[in-house]
Amino acid sequence: MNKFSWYEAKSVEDALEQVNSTVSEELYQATDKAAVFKSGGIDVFDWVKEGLLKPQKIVNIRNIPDLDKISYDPKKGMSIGSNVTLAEIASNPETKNHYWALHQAVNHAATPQLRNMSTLGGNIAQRNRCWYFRSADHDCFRKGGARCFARQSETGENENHAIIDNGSCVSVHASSIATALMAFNASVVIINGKGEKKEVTMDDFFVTAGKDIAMENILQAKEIITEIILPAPTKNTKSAYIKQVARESYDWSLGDVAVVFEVSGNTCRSASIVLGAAAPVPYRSMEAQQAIENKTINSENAFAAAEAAMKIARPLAKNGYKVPLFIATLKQAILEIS
Amino acid sequence: MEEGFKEADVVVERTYRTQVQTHMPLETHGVVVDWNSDVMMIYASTQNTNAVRNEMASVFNLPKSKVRVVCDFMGGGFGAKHSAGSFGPMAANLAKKSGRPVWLMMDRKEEHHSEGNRPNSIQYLKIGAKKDGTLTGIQQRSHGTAGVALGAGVGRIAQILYPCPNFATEQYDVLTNAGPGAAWRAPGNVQGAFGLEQAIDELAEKLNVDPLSYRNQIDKSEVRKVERQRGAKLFDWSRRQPAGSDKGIVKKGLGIGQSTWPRFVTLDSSVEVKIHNDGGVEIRSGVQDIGTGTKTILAQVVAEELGLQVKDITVNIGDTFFPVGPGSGGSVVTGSITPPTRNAAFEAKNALLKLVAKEWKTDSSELFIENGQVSSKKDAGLKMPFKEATKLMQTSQISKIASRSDDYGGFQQPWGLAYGDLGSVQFAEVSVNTETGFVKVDKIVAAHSCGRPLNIGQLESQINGGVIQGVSYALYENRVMDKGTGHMMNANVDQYKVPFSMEIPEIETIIVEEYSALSSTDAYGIGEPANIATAAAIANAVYNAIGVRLYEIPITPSSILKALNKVS
Ligand SMILES: Cc1cc2nc3c(=O)[nH]c(=O)nc-3n(C[C@H](O)[C@H](O)[C@H](O)COP(=O)(O)OP(=O)(O)OC[C@H]3O[C@@H](n4cnc5c(N)ncnc54)[C@H](O)[C@@H]3O)c2cc1C
Repeated sequence: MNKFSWYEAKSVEDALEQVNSTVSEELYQATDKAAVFKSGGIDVFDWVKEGLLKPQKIVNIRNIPDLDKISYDPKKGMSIGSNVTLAEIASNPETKNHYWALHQAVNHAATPQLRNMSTLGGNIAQRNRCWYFRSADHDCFRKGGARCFARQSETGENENHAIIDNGSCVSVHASSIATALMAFNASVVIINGKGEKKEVTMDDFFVTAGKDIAMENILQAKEIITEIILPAPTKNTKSAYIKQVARESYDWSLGDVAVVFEVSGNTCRSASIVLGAAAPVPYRSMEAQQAIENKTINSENAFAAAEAAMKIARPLAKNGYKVPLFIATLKQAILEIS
Repeated sequence: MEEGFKEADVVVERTYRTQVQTHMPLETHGVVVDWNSDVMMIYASTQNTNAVRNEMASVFNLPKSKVRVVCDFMGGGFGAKHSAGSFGPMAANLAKKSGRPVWLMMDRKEEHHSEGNRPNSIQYLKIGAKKDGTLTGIQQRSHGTAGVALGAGVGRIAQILYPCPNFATEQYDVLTNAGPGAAWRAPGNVQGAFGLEQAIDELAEKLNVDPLSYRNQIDKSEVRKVERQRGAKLFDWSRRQPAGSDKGIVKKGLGIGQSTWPRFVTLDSSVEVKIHNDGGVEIRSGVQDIGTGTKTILAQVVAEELGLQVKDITVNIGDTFFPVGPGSGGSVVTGSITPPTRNAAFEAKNALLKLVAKEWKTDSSELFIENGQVSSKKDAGLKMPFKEATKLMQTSQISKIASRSDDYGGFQQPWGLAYGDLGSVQFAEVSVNTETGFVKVDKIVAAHSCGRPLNIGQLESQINGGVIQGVSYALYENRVMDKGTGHMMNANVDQYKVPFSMEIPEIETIIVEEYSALSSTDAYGIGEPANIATAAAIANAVYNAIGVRLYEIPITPSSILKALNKVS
């Protein structure tokens, strides 16, 4: 671990003044001159401890006032400040009552200890999972290197990797919470160094590896997430979330799905279906959505939708099991709604 | 060998594969060395204070009296902590140079890479039997890699568990540029049992007999017979259905696995028992307590011998300035150190009783100690509290040292110092989700024997630990090595998977007492036996659930879904 200075940001403006890069940018360029944000610090310090990130300055945004509020309004929906911890979301009754899939996703993310530390802003901005990407011994595309080690047909250890959109990078997005947020059509509020505010949907927040290998989201240096907004549900909104893990106690997702339906009776009127740990960013399955919309929610239709979701899957040598895993999981999640 | 298979009516011929399992004790390998005085002082996380002392004395050309190794408490050792490693001499050299104590502990990555693993195995096994079940031949050929070290064999389990007139084994070590293998809770045997116990199940199925009944027929061990009976009852083996017959998406399966482990002893095991003239009693030995409760049982043995309570006994062990103790390996500690402990206590007691006899003008053979009172068999009126008795001493202490030393009991075998077998039988109940491939171990019934149980709580703890490590081996642990770059990809505590609370099954233990009257405590260890049969029992249960056999561990969602032909 390198030596770095520590700056305690007092306000959003103050923080934006101090910061000069992002973790993504710095991992790609390795200038060793970066000043980056740290909130809960779980992901940032993983990179620092591995010796891959050598920041000059850590800008601690964890104690900026007013970024830790969570509120719910039946008309406007829910606003979650970027510094709200996962533990706070997990125990929030409004989340449980109105955003069941999010409640489930948060409760199944990481461990109780980690949930106490981790913030929602940090969670959606954390970098991807791939043991080559996260290893100092493997200089891969995402870090500006010349190779994807996980893809190598004879040697790649890719059992945990992506089965969809895995052409340029096979890592999977680390946030299992983003799966649920995207399914609820949440949006991210970002403020830049000029004080300008923008609100982007989750679908637009994430950047595919094909578009830019150096990052998984649109955040630029001198941009900060201040809140995440979830639209208000109707009385016909129903949701479900299931995460498959090797160990129930805690583990990274091998495949998770979030399903948010507008229903009338037992019919799905509109569907929002997102797969986690399937692709380098949370993946909205248009195919599954189309397959189930205006259909009765039953075993047969749920299975058809799940199969439709996997049509575009292109598994690697060691992760073929994810296809039947997603089919079973998505089917089950859809049936939980009925 | 060929003869054996010619006689056979049924033959099972398979290849089994087990993974590399890297040591991951919570406390990594390492030492603190302080070499400011005449004596090199080493605080070590070790399973063997004596070996570390001898190694360091030899490396630095010092008399053993000038090296002191202390290990008060251990943060976990499962076979890989028997030596000073390279870190010991490094720290000592640095301590010398700097004139300061040097702390040198491995970080987690170093621990995974360099501080030992259970080598993998690729085991070919061919077993033949006659129609009536009689075994005619067992042929075994294994390859494994302990990286830059040796020791990748698969043990003797295929040779001794079921007597067979024709047996042949070839076990090959393949050297690779990878981290060194090291002993790990029943080295070799855990790998060997995984193959053998599945093959026996498959043979039973071909012979159309229940796998438990088949073991009743071919297993000559009396203790395992009792374990099978009691285990089958507690586990309710009778509910076992034919393989793959459970209907639902999540299928239940039941399986059995057996093992054996010799009663090893280390003769160079010594203890000092001291009675002080204020009534205090102290035990001293170099033997270390690696978390198994050695301190407690030593106090129990002395308390029993001296007619005192456990709390009256002070145990000072894990220090090479005390008499040499055995290393904590081979499950030898209890069998090696408790007999001399009792013997030393017996001698110290006799010395004390002689003083009382003199005072009472009687013969010491008539005296005994019970509930902290010296009493006489002849005269019920004569009583003296233990503490009072110690005041009769002319010196401030009575000190007696006893050793396991000579081989009473006849433990010497042509291949080592061991006697008989510590038999084990384990039963596993699993649920397998045939859509997602997830396996959950619901329950393990573990029936074990280790002579005379000294402390039931500690024994059950050891069995629980062994079973959990077995579950871990069957389903989770795996060194993932990139073949292109030679790097271990999961050298941390997150991606190197071990079970946590939710992955741990219900565990019920059965302890079968089996006395051989070959030592003054008749007690033996359980650490290793507890770990051998679990993975095999789980694999057999998985087969029973889904009707497809898995010949490789760890069993993962991927391997289950592949076995079920669900992965295209
Ligand atoms: C063992 C383990 C298991 C885990 N399991 C899961 C899991 O199952 N599901 C899951 O979703 N996650 C999981 N995680 C990841 C964990 O939830 C994240 O690391 C954590 O949420 C990150 O939050 P943080 O506040 O600590 O972020 P930090 O580490 O502080 O920041 C992460 C990134 O976000 C940036 N950042 C932080 N806040 C802002 C902001 N307001 N604006 C702009 N950029 C910002 C930082 O610069 C950094 O790049 C696991 C982590 C571990 C260690």
